[in-house]
Amino acid sequence: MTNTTRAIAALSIVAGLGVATLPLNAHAAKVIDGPAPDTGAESGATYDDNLDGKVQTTTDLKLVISDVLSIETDNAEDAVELTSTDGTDYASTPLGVTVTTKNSTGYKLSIKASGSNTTKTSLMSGTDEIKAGTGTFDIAQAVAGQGAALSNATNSEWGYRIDSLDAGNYIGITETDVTIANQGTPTTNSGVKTNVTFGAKIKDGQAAGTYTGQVTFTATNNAK
Amino acid sequence: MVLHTKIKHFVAAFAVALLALTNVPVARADDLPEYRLAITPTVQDLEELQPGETRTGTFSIKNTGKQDFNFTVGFAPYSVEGENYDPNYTKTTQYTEISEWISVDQPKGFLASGSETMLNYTVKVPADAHGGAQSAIITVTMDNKKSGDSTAVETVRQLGYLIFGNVDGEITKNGKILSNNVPGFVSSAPLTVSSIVENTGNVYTRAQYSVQVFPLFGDEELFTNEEDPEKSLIFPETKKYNAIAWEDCPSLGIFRVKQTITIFDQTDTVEKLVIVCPFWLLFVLILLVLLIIFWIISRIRSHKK
Repeated sequence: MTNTTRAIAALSIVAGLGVATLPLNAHAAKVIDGPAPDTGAESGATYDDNLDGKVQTTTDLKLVISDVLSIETDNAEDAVELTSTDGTDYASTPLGVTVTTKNSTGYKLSIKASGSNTTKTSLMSGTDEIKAGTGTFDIAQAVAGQGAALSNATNSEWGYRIDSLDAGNYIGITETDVTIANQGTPTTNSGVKTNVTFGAKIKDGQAAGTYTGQVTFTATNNAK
Repeated sequence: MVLHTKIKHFVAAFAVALLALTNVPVARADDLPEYRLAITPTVQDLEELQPGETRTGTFSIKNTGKQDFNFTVGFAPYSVEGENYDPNYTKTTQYTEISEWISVDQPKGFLASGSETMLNYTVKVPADAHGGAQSAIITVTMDNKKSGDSTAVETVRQLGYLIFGNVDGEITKNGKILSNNVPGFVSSAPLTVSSIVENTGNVYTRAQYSVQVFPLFGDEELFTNEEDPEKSLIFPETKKYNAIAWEDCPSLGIFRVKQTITIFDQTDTVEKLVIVCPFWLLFVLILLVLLIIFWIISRIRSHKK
């Protein structure tokens, strides 16, 4: 037997064994109402013979699962503090935002800048501000490469990140809602948690003060 | 068996049963989050509205967390961006005026932990309202406590109760099916068909998606939603992406897949042969074919010699 023939035989065996181990059964069990015929019964079908002399009655059953949507965050306080060890790079602990829904088409969770600052997207201390970073996010696109590193080359910057972003990348907050979580199916009872971490990079010469801002998380169900 | 021994066994069994019953797991206060707000139901389709009409409705808001909180009710426009329908709660258009027509009987309130309250809302459609779709959200916001001096980013949590309808009047019902995709090759389950439709009218509608999968030979349906097609809400002047997956698709096979999409009076059907084969098996089969060709050629050459 030549080497080529041996190779063909080996590959044929591999292909055959591979096909044999694949789940191939795609035929739905077919049930036919009525007695099985004496000849010509359909292969693979199950015949349901009702002619057994028994009296039957039917009862409708109903089970209602309410359409519910809920939101929670895992911070006991209503705010998140950013801290630093070097006075330049600030970060918060991750804030878990959990959404639970029974809606068959799922939900979307979004975030936006809100509050009473003259520039809503900035953290402000009087007239001093830490501007929003330049990173952007589109949940419909591949996560890799989205967001951007915070810079303090010109102004101090702050932003937020979700776990799926590349390490060190943040999204600049905007006054319009940005979808940060999207699920097209109901969640489990424990919901889906989206971790949001806030960060800031402070320039040399930023004035001292307590810089504050506000973000709003909104969850809505997807309409069917 | 001596009687007192039987009694001892019975008492022991009863004690075990009692212990098992009292250990039925219940939701303990420790398991609850500090703050959680819930609403039910969450969406209201008002369907057809008439100019000058007043419509009412109700939904429940619940405090399912450990802490009490105050809440505030607001109204915001609701529109969508992109084919994946990202919500926009700030953009105002001719289709979001309903956010100004809604009022509630309780714009502020207090919810103790574990309590719920019903919110009654009223939609007053102006007599001169133009025809077309309208959509908005009723927002329910957990009010925050006063923040201290050390806070940096205050977090506000709110839920949106989506409300929408079509106002009767000068309406147009037009739509397009921009794409109807059935893949020709799939390497692993699920087998997914997709589409993009566009609503070019001024009322919302529901596009309908019907999928059927047949074997290569024969008409026995392996997968179908024909009797209960999937429906998807499409707002005016928007495009929407949709996908339907056959999760139980086998790992190997050739199938006839048909997707039919309908929006308003437009219908599009695509039927295609789909090959399902893992990449590794495809590679082995191609290699096998090449080897067989090589073997045949080498046999022919050796015969000629």
